[in-house]
Amino acid sequence: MDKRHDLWSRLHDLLALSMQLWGVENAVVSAPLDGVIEISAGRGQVIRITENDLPIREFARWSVCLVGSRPKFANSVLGILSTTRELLGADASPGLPLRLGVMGVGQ
Amino acid sequence: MTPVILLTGFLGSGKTTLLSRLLNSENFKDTAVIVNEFGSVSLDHEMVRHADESIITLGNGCLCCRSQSDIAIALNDLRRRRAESEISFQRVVIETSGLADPVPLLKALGTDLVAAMDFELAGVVTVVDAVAGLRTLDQYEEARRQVAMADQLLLSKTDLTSDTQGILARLASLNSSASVSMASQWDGVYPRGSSVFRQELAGQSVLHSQEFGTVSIIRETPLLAVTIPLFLEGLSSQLGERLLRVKGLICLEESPDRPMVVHTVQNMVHVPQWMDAWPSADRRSRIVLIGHHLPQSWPGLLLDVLDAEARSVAAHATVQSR
Repeated sequence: MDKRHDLWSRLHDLLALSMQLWGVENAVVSAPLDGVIEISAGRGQVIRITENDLPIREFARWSVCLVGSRPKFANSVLGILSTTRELLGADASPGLPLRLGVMGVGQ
Repeated sequence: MTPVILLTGFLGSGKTTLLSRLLNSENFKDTAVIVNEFGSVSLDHEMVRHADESIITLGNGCLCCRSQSDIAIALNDLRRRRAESEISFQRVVIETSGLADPVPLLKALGTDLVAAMDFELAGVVTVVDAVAGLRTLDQYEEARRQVAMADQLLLSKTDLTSDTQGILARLASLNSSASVSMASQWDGVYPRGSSVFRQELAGQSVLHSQEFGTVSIIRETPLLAVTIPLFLEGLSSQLGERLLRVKGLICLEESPDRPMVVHTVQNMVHVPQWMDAWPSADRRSRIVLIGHHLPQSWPGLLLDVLDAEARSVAAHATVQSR
């Protein structure tokens, strides 16, 4: 399995599990096809995730788009997760921003 | 750095009895104690039989509910008194009230810049009553959180019951990564650093109670360094308050001979540390998540996807630079 296909396959599985995590289990995540994953979110809503090949791909590697709306860009898988979650309106259990502690932990 | 041990346990579990015994033992003779009591009259510190004046009482209120600076003020007071040769100590024990939630306490400790200059967190020791522990754990979330956050679990009052199988199984279901010892036999030698991973983590084994549980991730192949902060950010942003703690001993591709030790408390990441060498022949990355209602497969898959993405970006950058 080539690395790109491997990434897409794992991303598909992660998104499918994320639907359960977010409590939107009625959403259906399509198998990756030609660099596209689609999420059918019910009521005719479809979220389409594609990989960009733009010159600025380091900053806009992924595109997450509610079909019919303007795409949102994400620079990593974390951005895909947060954008997809936002588009699904699955904010019942909000996350926490990471904080850096200053105290060490003894070894 | 002076190690700080957080000693916790539910009301009546035997924290003060344990502390009193330890302070009179050779291992703990140079110990300063911060006692937090819940109630308007402070009693516990009177019950701690200790020779010198290095006991600070933070009375009337649970430490986890009070302003975060209380701990820092107490630690700074100890540091000042040590600098003025008023007292001497080599470690600090913070005895929490029985109702304390260790999570905000650890976050307060971990993010205090002044305290971090002289002190480091040694870990969380939780005392559990062998007789009443099961009932307490069933009834009180505070008690479950205390167990879930522990590095060392101590079973007290084992002289009053011969049946400890039930409570031991319950403790394992709440926190499979902590060491368990009998409180009466514990000499204060703390399982530090990588030894918290000495428990066998068999593959993707997951032990779950109704609410709290442990998710273990083991990876044979080294991970890219950039994957780790992304992974921790992903856990925090997606799991939020469900996640109580992450401990990791990680083999990085960039530093395969020196494992990275990662500790987080909820969304706070302690400064990562590198060990000089692997503590055993086992060089696999091992990560333990502790929390409630944790998804079983999702964290490991997140780690894999992020590592795959990081490798994809690195490969693309390499092609571009040619």
